[in-house]
Amino acid sequence: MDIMRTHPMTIIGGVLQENPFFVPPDEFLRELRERRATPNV
Amino acid sequence: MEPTNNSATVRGGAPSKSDQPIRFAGSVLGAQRHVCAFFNSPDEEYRVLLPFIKEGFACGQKAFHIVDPKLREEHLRRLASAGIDVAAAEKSGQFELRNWADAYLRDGHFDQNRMLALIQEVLEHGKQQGFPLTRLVAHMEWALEDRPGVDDLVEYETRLNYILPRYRDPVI
Repeated sequence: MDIMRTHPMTIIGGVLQENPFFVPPDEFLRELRERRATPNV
Repeated sequence: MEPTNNSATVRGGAPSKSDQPIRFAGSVLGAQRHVCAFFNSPDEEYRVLLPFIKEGFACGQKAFHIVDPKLREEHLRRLASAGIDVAAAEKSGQFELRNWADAYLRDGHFDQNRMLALIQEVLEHGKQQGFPLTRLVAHMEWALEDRPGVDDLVEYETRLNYILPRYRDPVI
């Protein structure tokens, strides 16, 4: 559900609300880079 | 904030300013306008989206929609059922409807850089056409399919958060 973390707002159950799971792009891109650099175990 | 006057007919509504409150899904959109929407059924989807879409038309704003080509006619039928004169809006340039293949999946694959450029182009073009705001609505079910490039979608969506704060246009 990474996609949930890329949107500052969500509509779930027909209700618009701020997304508590949102991650700002600097932080998220850093996380993506780190994931790519870490080999799967 | 004063709610938008939605008593105007869909066609011929007074032009709005881009800072007019945007009512959406039981609330008012604030500065953050990049929205991820989940729906359990098409009926739920259109029950939520149609008032938002219709209000944009009534306020003289642009509508740019990206849909599954298989659902294109159904989408148009739903808009018409809300009283939106789709043909007139397309002719005037107020409404633009694209299939996935003409947006996310050009040449059969997803290219995040090309799509980021397209979103900016769409939002800029709306301004150049004289619309105070563009309400962009995109169906994303293709992301659940095994499409070439789909693995870049999360990176694309997060990079969109660098671009969209420069605009007032809601992107759903």
